[in-house]
Amino acid sequence: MAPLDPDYAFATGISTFADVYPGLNEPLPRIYVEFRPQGIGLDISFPALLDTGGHYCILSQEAAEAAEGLLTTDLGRITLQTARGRIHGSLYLIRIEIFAEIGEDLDLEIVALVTSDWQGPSIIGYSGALDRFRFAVDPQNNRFFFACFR
Amino acid sequence: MDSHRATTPVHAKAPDGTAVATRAPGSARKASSTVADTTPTDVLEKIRSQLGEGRYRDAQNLAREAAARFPEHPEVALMNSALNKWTAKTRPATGVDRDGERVWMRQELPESLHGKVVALVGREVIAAADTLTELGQQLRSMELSKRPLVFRVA
Repeated sequence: MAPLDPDYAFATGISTFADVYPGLNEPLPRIYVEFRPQGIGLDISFPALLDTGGHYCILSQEAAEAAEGLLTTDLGRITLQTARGRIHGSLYLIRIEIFAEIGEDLDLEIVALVTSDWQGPSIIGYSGALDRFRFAVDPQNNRFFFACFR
Repeated sequence: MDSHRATTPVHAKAPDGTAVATRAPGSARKASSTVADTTPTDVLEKIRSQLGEGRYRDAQNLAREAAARFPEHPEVALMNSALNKWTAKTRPATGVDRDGERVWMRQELPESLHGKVVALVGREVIAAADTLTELGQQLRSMELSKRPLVFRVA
C-alpha cells in the first residue's frame, strides 16, 4: 500500500445524509443518500438506503416509475434471495446521479433491480453499485463522501 | 473504466471462424471449462442464477469468460459490459442543503400522509399524491426554488 499522499483527494463530492426514513420508525440510524435515475423528466430526487450488506441497487416503486422510459438495457429476470425472502425482478443497467452539496456530483452507471416485490425505499447495495465508486461516511456529522475511482 | 482484474485468455479461431478462448496445457482453469461446452443461452441463464444467489464475483468472471468464448453474441457482450465495465463521471455540485428536510423527516407524521408520495422542500410538503404520476402533475404546475425530495411515506 502506498503511503498517504497529502495531495490525494479521497472524495470529490460531499453530501449530508438523512438517518431516518419517514414513517419507518427504524430503531437504529441508517444512511439515506440522495439520488435520482439520470434522464427522468422531473427535477426531483429520491432518498436511497446505503446498504453495504445488500445486493445490487433496488429501485423504489417511485424511482422505478420515474425511470420507466430509461430501462432499456435489460439484463434479464432474476430471483434474488434476501433476508426477507425471495424477490423476483429484472436487472437493468441504468445511470444514476448522486448529488453533492460540496464539490462534484457523481454520475454513475450501475446495475439495478426493478421489482414489484419491493415496497420499501430505494437501496444502493454493494454489487454493481457501491463497488463502483469510492465512498466513506462521517457518522458524527452525517456526511457522505464520494468520488470516482481514478 | 474497469477497476477489476481482467482475465486474459489465449484466443484462437475455430474452423468455422468463431473465436474461442483456449489456454496452454496445464494452465486450464476451472472457470474456462465452464463456458467451453455450453451455449450462450445456457451461460446467460447460469450468470443470472449466480446473480440471484448473490454470487456477483462469480457472475462477473463467468460473463467475462463467456464474452471471450462468444464474442459475437450481443446479449453475452451486454452482460459482460454491464457487470465488468462502467462509466462514471463528475460535474459541479448541484446538491442542495437539506437541513430543513432532515428536521421534517424526524418528526411524528400526520396519519394522513402515511402511504402518500410526497414532495418535500425544506420543512414543507409542497405536494402529496397517491402516485408519482399525480405528484408529477402537481409539481409541473409549480415554480420550484429548490429540487424537491420525493418519497412514499411508510
